[in-house]
Amino acid sequence: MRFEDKLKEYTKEEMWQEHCGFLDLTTKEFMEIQYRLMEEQMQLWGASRLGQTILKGKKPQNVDEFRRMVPLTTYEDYAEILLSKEKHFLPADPVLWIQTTWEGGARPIKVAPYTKSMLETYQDNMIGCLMLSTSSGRGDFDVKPKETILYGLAPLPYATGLFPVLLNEEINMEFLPPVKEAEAMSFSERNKKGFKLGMKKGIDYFFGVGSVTYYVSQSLSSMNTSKKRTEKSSDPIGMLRMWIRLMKGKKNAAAKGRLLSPGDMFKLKGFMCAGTDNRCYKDELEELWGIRPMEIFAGTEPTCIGTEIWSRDGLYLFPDACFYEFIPENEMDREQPMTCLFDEVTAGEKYELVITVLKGGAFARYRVGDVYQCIGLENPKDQTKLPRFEYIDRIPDIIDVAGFTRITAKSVERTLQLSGLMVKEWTARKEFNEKNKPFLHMYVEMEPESFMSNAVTIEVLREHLSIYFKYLDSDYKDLKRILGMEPLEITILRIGTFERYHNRYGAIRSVNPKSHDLQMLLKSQEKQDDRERRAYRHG
Amino acid sequence: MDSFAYISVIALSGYLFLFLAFTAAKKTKIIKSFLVVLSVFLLWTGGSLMMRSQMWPGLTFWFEVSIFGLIMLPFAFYNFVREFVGSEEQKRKRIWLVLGLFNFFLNLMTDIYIPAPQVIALSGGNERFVYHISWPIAILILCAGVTILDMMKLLMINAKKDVVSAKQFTPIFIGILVLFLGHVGTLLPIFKGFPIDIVSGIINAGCMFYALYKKHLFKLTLLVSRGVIYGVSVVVSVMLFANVISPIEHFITGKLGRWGEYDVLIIAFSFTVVTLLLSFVIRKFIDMLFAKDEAKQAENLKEFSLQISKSLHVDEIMDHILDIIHKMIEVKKVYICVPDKQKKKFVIAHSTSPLDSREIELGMKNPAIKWLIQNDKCVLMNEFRRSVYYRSMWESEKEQFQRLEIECIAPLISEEELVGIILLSQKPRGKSYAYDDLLLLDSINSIASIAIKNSRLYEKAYLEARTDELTGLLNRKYFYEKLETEIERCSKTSLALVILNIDDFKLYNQLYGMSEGDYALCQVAEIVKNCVGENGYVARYSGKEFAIILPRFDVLAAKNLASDIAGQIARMHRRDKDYVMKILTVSGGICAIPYSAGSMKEIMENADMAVYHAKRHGKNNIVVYECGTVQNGIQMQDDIDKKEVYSEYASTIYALMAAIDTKDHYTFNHSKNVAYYATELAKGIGMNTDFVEIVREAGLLHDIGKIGIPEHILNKSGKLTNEEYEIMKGHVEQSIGIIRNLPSLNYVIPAVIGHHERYDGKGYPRGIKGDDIPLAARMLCIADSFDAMVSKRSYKKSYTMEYAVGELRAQSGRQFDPELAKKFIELVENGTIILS
Repeated sequence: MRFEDKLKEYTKEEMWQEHCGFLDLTTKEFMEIQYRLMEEQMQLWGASRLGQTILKGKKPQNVDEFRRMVPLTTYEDYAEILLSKEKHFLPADPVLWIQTTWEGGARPIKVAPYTKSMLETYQDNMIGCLMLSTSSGRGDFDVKPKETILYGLAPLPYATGLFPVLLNEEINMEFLPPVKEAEAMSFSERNKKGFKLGMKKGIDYFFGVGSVTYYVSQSLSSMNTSKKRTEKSSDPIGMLRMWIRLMKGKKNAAAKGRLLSPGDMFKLKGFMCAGTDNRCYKDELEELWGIRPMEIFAGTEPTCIGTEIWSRDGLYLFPDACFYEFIPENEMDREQPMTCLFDEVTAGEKYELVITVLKGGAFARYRVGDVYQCIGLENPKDQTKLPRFEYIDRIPDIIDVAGFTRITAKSVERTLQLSGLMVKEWTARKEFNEKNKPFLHMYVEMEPESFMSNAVTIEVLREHLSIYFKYLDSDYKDLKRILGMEPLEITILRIGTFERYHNRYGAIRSVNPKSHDLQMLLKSQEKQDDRERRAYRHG
Repeated sequence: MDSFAYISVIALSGYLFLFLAFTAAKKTKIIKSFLVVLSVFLLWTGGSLMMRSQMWPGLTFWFEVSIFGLIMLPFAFYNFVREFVGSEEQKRKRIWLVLGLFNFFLNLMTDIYIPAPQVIALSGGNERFVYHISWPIAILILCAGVTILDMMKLLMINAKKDVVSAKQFTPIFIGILVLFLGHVGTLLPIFKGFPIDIVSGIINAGCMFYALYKKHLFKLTLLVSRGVIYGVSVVVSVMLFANVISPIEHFITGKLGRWGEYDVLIIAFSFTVVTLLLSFVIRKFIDMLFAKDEAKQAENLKEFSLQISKSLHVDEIMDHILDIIHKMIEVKKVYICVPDKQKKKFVIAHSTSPLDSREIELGMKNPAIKWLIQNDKCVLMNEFRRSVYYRSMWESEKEQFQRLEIECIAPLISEEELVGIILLSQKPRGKSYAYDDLLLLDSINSIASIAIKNSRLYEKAYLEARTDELTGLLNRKYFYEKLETEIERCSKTSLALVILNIDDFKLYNQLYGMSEGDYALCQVAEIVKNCVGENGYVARYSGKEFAIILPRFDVLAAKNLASDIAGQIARMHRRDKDYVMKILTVSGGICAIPYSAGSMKEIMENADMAVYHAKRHGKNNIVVYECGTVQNGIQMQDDIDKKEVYSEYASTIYALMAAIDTKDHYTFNHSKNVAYYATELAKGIGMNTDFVEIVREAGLLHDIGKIGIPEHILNKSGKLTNEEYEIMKGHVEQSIGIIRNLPSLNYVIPAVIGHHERYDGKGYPRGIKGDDIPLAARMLCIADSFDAMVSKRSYKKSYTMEYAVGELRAQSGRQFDPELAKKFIELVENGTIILS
């Protein structure tokens, strides 16, 4: 039975129980589900050729043995089999393959197989997210068929494209613009068309990457109404609705004594966002729409694994999507770090997430590359007894700017190499501007001779590097275009700075150095300035 | 009374019936609120009827009663709806209550809204009730309207919140609409004189009743008791007769002539008949409408309960469960799963058809099982799928349920243990399971659990009385019963009896302990059971004996089976790689009816005799009893084999001898001498070569335990202290400790362990005496003592042969077996034994 039919057949309580009942679990009950599903996965994965390439003949009998026998893995461990899409190597037959870019990988893309069972779980959990996005408390939700969703995420074969496909199997929702049309549109066309339709039909839900929803929301505020007039003849009723909505919005804005914002025109029932850096946008999005976005966590490899709930006070993990392990912060830099389980996390600690995809998934003890902080083991206010988390960022090896691009040391090296710029040494870091928006900050030291032979200004370097970043990473070019911000900042360090730092403190991380280390690097430059100045004076 | 008085009577009867019935129901808040609604309906309709009948105490009184009911109706209705939707709201409820009471008392005092009607006499004895209504009645209607609107709002809000609840509200919406239209109808000329408002009231009460019924708030069978039906019948009859008593009286006295004087009797009789008829009709009507199925269900459950209470077998109970489910619930397939022997999973043991697929297996950790244990009630798959338990289902488990199209699962729980699971497939024509189906399944579980508990206790006792606790085979007592029955059954065909006796099992127990012995017995029992399978019966005949009854087996087939079993037992020690077992062999005897026995006694004795023969002829052998003679069936290992085996052991023995030689050269020579003397003695008394070989090996190894004795004690020239003597005595146990680790040599242990025992029982380590001491040990004892005397030791010089012979003679019957000592002396004296 479809979710839409169930809405008519079952009580709210029953529907809540089915999709959000996991929130009533205790940690012990959560772990029972985890262990049981892991048993199934161990059998499937252990017997597959993919599993055997890693297990090398060993046969774990229980989860403890599995954790001992299977080392932590990265995509490199699966690349050969998965990228060739060798079906018979896998634990279960995949229904479809989801793809994403492979940051700093050997190939441009990564693919992940999705089994029927994984998709069913994904679907159930997505519906849970949809219900929770409209919820103001336990047991409360308001989802109805034929509602409209403004959808700001990429279509299939990207993981985000699964949402409309799976959702439409269960309930007739109107995606703005319709999914089929959206697939053929560019990003900005999609958004424009979506909003146009939204103005006519109203918007009940909004789902997108935090940064994109922010950009789209802002552009809506400054919407040009003149364009709509040209469409008058084709859809007069739609135009009338649009006009009424706009007028109503303007009236609301005027009453509040501020500029028009989307919240004046639309009353969202549910607002969901995914991706990185959502923290930077949530407050402003809430202000713009009058409803705080609910963050969900989904990815290509792990599927949909977690969601915030009505209080928007931390992510809760789904018990049936993956088996979760956590690398404590102090273990992250080790080659084979120790992991702890869901029932062993401590409030306040930061962890790198390690997953084993359940239900015939390919990835086992896989380092997703995301860092979470456990913000509490239970929440009396929401009456939950499960650990809840906050998404912090990608692991330090990766710079993810606003969920768009993933920059690694390798990709920067390659960019520098292609650009031909005479950069002697560099370090790069994700930083936040005065509006709390993320950008990539590169600290470079040029070869001394480069100043003599080339034009070396920050603008030139930025232009050069931007071109090659865009060349190597298709997502990078969307950063500026979509977010309307300059994603790259460059600071040229004085010659010899890195050398002095190395002599004094040793090596510095090339990607995401710690704040203290960066301060020391910059100070090394200042000290040099003083000495040089003194030498110059005496000379 | 006007011509439509019967409508009021029907309405009143209906309300009264419901009122009485619901007073018997469980008083929940919602039922109470429904009773309030019925009360105001009763006051309204009853008051009106009484008023029109101008009953005592008078028109005004009944008018006010009727008006009270009418004015309070909106409040009562509001209160009912409020409870129905589960609203906690209190404030508005109070407002509508106060407003209703206020309006009533205002009208009572001032007649402002509606005064009592004026009675106008019409021609033909009829009367008309004329109401003088003025505009203030609009206020009353407005108050009622506002209350109704508020009630509708409450319903709408809740219907919006919950789509499912909205469905339940539908009958109430319809009821309100009908009630409203009924009252509007009174204003229409078409209904002039017809109490359309009262008809709408009846329909409305019916709608409310239906809504409550759909909400499963009561059981009809509980409501509709015999008393209620009689009560209603009496009330209706009284009301009817109150109206028609005068015309009847007139009719009897006027038309029936002389019967007129019996008018009271006739009326009383008619009243009784009408009341009974009414009660009969009402009951039939209720049965036809609702209670028929429930009564039938109760009847079936009663029958089921009776059947299973008579049964003492779980299987029978399960079959009865299947039957009742099949009878009561229209369902394509029903399966009952029970735990398998190892209690690791539930497997299908019973199903509606023998052709049904039985491939489903539910592991003990299956979340569905967990759900059933924790909730102890049946569950629809749809409901289970919505539970959080379903999240931990494996894909293979989901597929199993899907394959069998399971839609409902019910537990069979006995003493908090899940003893069975009922799986019900889809209903035909896509019908879905009703609430009553689930109630029935839960009732079956409750009824069956007690019967299952009893039958399990019985079966346990039955099993214990018939089986051997250790091996699970039939015990001796039941074996005799079974043998007798089977001989009777096979009187026209054949029956073979095989008795298998484990060789040297007592020694096995002594050497390896009782638990090892028990383990071996279980292993042997398992082998025998598996080999025999469904072809016969296996019993533990005695401690180390197993008997196999083989109906319709001839001698050859029995012999082949027995040899197969014996072979498997001999190879048993190689089966389990992780567990080192010692070799065990069996001696078997076979006898068959009618070939070589004619009765139970004969077959038993002959098979026993065959076993005895097998034992006497070297064990590890199967012997067939044939008409007074016993014939070797299969010699499991021939003499050549044994020689080969012995030569294989030789290297082990030499290695041990070499070890003792390096430690204590004297003991090395002594062992060789003892072996020689004992071997000669064995030969001298006519023992076969096997025995002689055992004696020789025992002689060589009898002091091997001295490896563990400190050299200063072994070679001490003086007398040993008590402590040292105790250590020295320990060499016997130590010898055994070494030899028992060599399973291939453990047959020498009886000789080694007993070589310091004395014939008079004063020896060590066990203090056994006479023939209890193994023969080989008694021989070793003589050889050991003789060599000790004739050899030179660190603490003594060597004695002469004559002295030694003298000592043997002197200790004959005390330390030594007199027969053997005599034979030994004879062999020494005739030169067969010469000093080494």
